[in-house]
Amino acid sequence: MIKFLYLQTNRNSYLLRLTCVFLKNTKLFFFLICLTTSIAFPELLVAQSAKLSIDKNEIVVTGTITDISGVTMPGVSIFVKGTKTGAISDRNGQYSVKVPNKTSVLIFSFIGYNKQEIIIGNLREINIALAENIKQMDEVVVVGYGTSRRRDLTGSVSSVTAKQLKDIPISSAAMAIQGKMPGVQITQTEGAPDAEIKIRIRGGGSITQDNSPLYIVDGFPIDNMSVITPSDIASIDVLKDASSTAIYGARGANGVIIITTKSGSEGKPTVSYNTYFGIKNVTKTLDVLDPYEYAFWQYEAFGGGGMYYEQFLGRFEDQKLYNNMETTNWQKKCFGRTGSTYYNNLSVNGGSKVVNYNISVTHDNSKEIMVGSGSTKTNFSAKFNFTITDWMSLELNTRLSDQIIMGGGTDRSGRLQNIINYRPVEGIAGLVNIQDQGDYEIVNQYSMNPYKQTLDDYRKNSAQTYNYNTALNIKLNKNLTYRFSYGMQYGKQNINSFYGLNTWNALVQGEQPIAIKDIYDRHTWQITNTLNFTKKNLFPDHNLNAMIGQELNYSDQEFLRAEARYLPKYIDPEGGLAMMDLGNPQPLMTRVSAPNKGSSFFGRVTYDYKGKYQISGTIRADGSSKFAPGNQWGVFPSVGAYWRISDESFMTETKKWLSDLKLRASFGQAGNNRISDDVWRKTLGISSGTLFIDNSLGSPTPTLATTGTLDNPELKWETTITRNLGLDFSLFNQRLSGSIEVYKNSTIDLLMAAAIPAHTGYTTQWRNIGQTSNKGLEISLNGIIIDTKDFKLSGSFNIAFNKNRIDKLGKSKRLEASTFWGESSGTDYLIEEGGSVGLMYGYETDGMYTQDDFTYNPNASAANKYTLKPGIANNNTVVNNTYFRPGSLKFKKQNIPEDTSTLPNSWWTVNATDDRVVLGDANPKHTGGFSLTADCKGIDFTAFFNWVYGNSIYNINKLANTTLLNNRKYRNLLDIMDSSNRYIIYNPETGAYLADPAESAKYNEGKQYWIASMANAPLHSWAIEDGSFLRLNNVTIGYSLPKSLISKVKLQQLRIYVTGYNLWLWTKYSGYDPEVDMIRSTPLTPGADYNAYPRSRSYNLGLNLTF
Amino acid sequence: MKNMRYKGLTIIFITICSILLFPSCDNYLVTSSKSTFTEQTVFENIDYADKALYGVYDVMTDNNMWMYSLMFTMLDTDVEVNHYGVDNGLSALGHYKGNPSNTAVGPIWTRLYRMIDRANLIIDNLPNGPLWNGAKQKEARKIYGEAIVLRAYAYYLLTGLWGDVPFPITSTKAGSNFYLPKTSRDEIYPYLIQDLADVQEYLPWSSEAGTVKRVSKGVAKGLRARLALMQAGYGLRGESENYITRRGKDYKKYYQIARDECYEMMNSGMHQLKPDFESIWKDLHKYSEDISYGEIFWEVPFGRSVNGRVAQSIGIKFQTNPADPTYGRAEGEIKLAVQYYYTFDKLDKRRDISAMLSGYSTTSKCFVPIHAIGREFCPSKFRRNWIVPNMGGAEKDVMNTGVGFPLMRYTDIVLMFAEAENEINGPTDLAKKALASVRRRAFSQENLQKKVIDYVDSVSADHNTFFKAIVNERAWEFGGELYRKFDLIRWNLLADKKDEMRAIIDNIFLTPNVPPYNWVPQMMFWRTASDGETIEILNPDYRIDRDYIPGYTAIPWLSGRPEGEISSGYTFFNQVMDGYRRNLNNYIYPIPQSVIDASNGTLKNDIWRP
Repeated sequence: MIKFLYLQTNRNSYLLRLTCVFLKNTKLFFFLICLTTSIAFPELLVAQSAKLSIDKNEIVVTGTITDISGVTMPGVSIFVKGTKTGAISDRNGQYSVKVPNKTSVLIFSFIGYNKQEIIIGNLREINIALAENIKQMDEVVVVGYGTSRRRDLTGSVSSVTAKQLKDIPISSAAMAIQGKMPGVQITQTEGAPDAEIKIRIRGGGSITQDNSPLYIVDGFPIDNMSVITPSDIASIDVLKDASSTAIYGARGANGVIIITTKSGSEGKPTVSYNTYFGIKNVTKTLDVLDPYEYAFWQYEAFGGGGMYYEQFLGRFEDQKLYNNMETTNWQKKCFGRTGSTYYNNLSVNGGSKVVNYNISVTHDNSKEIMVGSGSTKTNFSAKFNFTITDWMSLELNTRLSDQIIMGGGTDRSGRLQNIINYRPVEGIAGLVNIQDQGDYEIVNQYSMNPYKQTLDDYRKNSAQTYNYNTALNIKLNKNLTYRFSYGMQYGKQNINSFYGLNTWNALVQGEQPIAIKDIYDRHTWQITNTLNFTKKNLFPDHNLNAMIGQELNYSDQEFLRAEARYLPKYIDPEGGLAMMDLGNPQPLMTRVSAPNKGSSFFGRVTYDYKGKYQISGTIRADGSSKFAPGNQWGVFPSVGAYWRISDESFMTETKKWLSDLKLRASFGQAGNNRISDDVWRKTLGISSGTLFIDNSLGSPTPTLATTGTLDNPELKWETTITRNLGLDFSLFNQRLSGSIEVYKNSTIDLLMAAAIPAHTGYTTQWRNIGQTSNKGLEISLNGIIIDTKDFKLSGSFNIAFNKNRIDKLGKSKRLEASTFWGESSGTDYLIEEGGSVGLMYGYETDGMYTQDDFTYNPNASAANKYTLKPGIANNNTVVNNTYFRPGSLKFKKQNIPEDTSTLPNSWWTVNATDDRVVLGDANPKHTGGFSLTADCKGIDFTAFFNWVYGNSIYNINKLANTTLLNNRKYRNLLDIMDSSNRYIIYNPETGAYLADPAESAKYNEGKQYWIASMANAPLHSWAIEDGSFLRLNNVTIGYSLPKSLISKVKLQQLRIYVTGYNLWLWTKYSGYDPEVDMIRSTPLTPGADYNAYPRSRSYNLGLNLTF
Repeated sequence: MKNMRYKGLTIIFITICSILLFPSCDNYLVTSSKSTFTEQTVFENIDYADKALYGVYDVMTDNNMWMYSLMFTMLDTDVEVNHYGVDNGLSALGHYKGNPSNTAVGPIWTRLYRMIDRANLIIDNLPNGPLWNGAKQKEARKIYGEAIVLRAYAYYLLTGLWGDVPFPITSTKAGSNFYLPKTSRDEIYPYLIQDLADVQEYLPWSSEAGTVKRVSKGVAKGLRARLALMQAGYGLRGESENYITRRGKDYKKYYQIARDECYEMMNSGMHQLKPDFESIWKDLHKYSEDISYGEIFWEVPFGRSVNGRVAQSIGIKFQTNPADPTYGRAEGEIKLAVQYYYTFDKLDKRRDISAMLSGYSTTSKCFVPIHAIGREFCPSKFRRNWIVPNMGGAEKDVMNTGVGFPLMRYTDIVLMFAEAENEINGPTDLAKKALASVRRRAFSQENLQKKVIDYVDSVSADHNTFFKAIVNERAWEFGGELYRKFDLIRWNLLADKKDEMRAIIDNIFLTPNVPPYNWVPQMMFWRTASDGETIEILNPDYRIDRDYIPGYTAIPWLSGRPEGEISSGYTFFNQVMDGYRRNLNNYIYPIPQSVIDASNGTLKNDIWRP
């Protein structure tokens, strides 16, 4: 075959060879060829195109093209209608084109501008002004395996285009759409450089499984969006209902986010250079006790001083000296530095009639606010479109990404806790050398210097991703197009960790450093064949579009871990990781995953009449290797229709103000198979770690055992049924447009790790149980408020309401989940039929116990002076107070009957079964965003706000940092617990225990908070806070130099701008930031704030340059 | 025309490429990982089957099992105690104050049943697989035998802690009935006892196997005897609505089984008492297995610096910080009841080996008396300074010592024999001989007549006095080995011993001058020995009515401490067994709430009482 192709001498054979070589699946070779082609081809192709035959009766037409404001427009395509002849305007907007005869029609087109057609007649010079295309409804939207005009959609698709993105530098594709699309909730889980960005489209149906949408970049599925350079993005389309997602069948249940990267456009090369430099600072730190308050608090924590107290914090009599001591703000020290970002992006875009290209290189270097934390990202992408013949075209697309993220963040080893809790002052230990440090220095990682720990906790996460896609389009006849595409991605991730001398990990491993290298190799490929049939005017005014396709996909993963302990003491992280054999090597671990394979067949038919009525149907059959043979296949159909009311004859009257009105409805199914591989059968895997049966001094004995979750061969696809009703409208000549949608999604046969009794040997089994639903309303509006030549002001607004409900939950009807935060006890989330996922479940705070709740016996021993009166709720078994007396935290007893006289005293004991209630809901009532954009004589202004309203946050940080739990001596508290707010039980003047009710009352008048010493800190309603916020997400002010000026230096665009991010936050939330979601090991515990990396505010100064 | 030709060729080319690239559709969707095995492949290969058995052993080394948590479930008796305050975890369990949502109770239940399911997988598969009668049948049957013993051991712990429990004896499959109700111990124990009789022929003695980290014939016998004693002894049985304990069905028969099993083992000549009591423990810390005597014949297989908290969480205290560079740190979390030391015969050599009065001070780089109020008596059979190779220096902060935790000791067999023999035949010569053999090691030659021969005679008058002697002897012999709780439960003595302990403590502290404990020192004199490290205590067990002796440091001791300190000491002593009520017999743990929730109503906490 190849030999045969070599014999061909024209350019087609060259390309075929290229394809063939490519298909042989050699990554590097292909990349080299891509580069070679990009260099070699333009000349070659330009030379060939110049030879195109020209009619003898040719007419030459010249002219200048400008936009409405008179600025010349380079790069505009000029075509002679019905031929391949054409030209492109040069840098000065001038063109020259040869036309065959006077009846020829010239077409002027430029992306984002209205196309113009002009009959030549006798004209020889045509100067034309192109108007910008402001018709939102004609925007092209990417749908699965094809595109559609927005006006032709039956389903629910939200989009953001490059135009909307271009003015604001954004760090990731996900952040680009935050708050801009109704029904797409994006939560940056914390402020860290590698923070997970949680995306939920219309709530999410699964209870225990991942609810992330499917990400498709240029037709190829990817795991996360961070490998895409924001400035390469041409558009982001989010498919929300089954009529649009069903074409992705299996993987579409949680919505689909389709990213299309920029393609080259015909014309001379355009070079763009974008750069910005930014600085960032932490927005908020939490106030903690000052040295005096700390010392007084410790006095209480030690039960009124004593040897261990005095040894480190001195005598009580001298405590006032702490008022003069300088406090160390560990938060400032650890994440108070000024971070910086330096971003550079260079792209070249251009092409001829034969090849279009867009090549871009991006380098982004950031230093984060936390010491040792930062990132370096380099992305390269090259995209080519070859028009080989009039019936064949080839697309090649390469993306390389190299990212390095430094630092372990604040969640690792409870770092944030450590930073907040660590003593603000050294005490006597700072002045004299105490030989016996006792518990002062180190009892656990929380009592070690957090700054040193952070510095010594080295982590380097580097990931390289190589992605290659190719597609061949063949026009078989006028109506029929065949497309073959093949994509592959190779990802390598290297997580290097090094625990230096000041880390707890090293401390317990011989006080010697530890180095760990985790290496992941991931490999994915996909082949798609589609056949597209389009027939306009099948019958007069009846149009038909049909597509059938087939797809195969594959992914697998290999993992390797190497670990060395007992490395030489003073080796640096890089050295330790580079010479791990200097230490004591641990057993090498390798794992290969079961390949995850899918096979699919799909089709879509769209039929419309005059563009007024349309009906479309899709169906997809998906087979997945995650299920047992027999259950592998799922079929997901959908149907949608629209009715353009405004085109009806009875609407002619309203045409004056109602430009467009469309009602659409859809119904369909999509599937979900997001479970681990091989859970349909029992397998035994290796673990090596803790058993030393062969030789206690040697290495651990590998063992074989089943996993903790029981298999289930009867597992099948989880199915989401969506119903969507939408109304699109556009008013006043499209000055105001928008859409309103209502939907209801039901997810059935939920794939869940369902609880089974632990005496089976397992705690959970994979099952299809339960049903959830999400219903909601989404509104989006876009308006051009002022539109004059010099000043343009437009705004957009969107709001989404979603209500999640668990309709069925198997036999048990309810389950509880736990955040398992540091020292928590028991469960703190309730998942119940009729409720939603995210209900926070705990005790109701009832302030403090008062003197009236106790009987006082002055003669009893100190611990027994107070006895609780009968008929008072007793929470002591739940929290286990160190001092159970007036001033102790009190919980409410629930469901107190009217007649309490018959209740035994034991009834008043607060307990987990009877007295916990739902305290909050992590689901917001509504979310949304709005933006304002203004243009005035080269100055552009954008402000963007987003909000979340009506959700609760479980502020674990607050709970953890206001309570003294076991082994927490020497640890600091938040300053809301200082002695003016906290119920104190030691006399601040004398240090004596305040046992006497009168004396105790004297020192505790008007106190808000309880005694902080207790053994358990279960969730109580005080820790649930309103998470509503409105954020001024970003503001950009830019200035573009007048084109008349810059064109003299051959520039097309020169814009300078400043952007501020996270500029203002309106919220009642007392923690760092209400946009937080930290306990994500299960989706059952959303909205918990614990050890989150604090968010920063940043300012960027940037430059866009195009020539 | 030309166009058409290219078009045709291209389509052919694409088709061929597609065919080449497309895998065959039949098997395309069936995938498997090279890193896992199916049930079938594991039990076709003896090496893999062995690894599956290691999976059962592996559970025992878990943090929720013998590495840490399980030790705390054996606490609060008159010997080993927990001095931590009540939490919602391990300490609450120790103080008999558990509740279904206790954070520690669930993981322990889960681990024990995980161990059972892993064993069941072997028990299900091996006899029906190709290995059973193949060339490797001896090895296969040994693996099977070990799995049977390990499963029985897991049930021994489960029934000891929870009473009647669900009793799966086949491995759980996707379609199994997950909702098993409780099975009576009257069914569980006989089943396991039969099991352990059946597999003994498959198992070698520990000396033949050359290891005490794996189950041997002795373990099968010892465990069989223990289970028989549990069936024969008292328990809070399922139907006891008034929380009254009773013996299991046919209890006499089970005393006979226990007696015979122990007697057979004693006559086998495969195990002996190690002549030197101290060397049992010292050698344990050398990671050397006692193959020759077979005194400790089953250990939990831990790995140094990886897991195991022997001589760390259990053992004497070595000041944690700064950790001592010579020997390293040891927390000594598990304590001994304050009166335990003083219940020993003053001449009993086991006293200072099992319950020494000192711990290691980093400040003074030597042993110093423990906390003078007596709340830091630690089980001193486990000592960080005995570890060889030494675990100081760079390893001083390493908590995972890897020292094996002894699960079965030959002395236990001998004393179980004496106990069972006494139950059946009374204090016969055989029973007396067994008791004497254990005591002989505890006393020096010169005290042999008085403390061993005369003593044994003095307690052999009748069944009851001999039984009491066994109760005492087991306390003195096994202090720190965590046998006491299960012993007291099967003897129905938990409440009596709690009261007895409290009476002695009150005697020591509140009425120090009233006999019988009016000799406990109020001022103790000690000095560092000439080696600069060990301690010499002048008067560990008698009073000296002085407050200064040249060359010695005086330390006010126990009742000699100020009143305030004594009252603070009492807050520790009061916690011990605090939640235990004689009338409720509430030593059984609650079934975890998560299990009850998931049980579809088949399980409830009907016997457990808060």
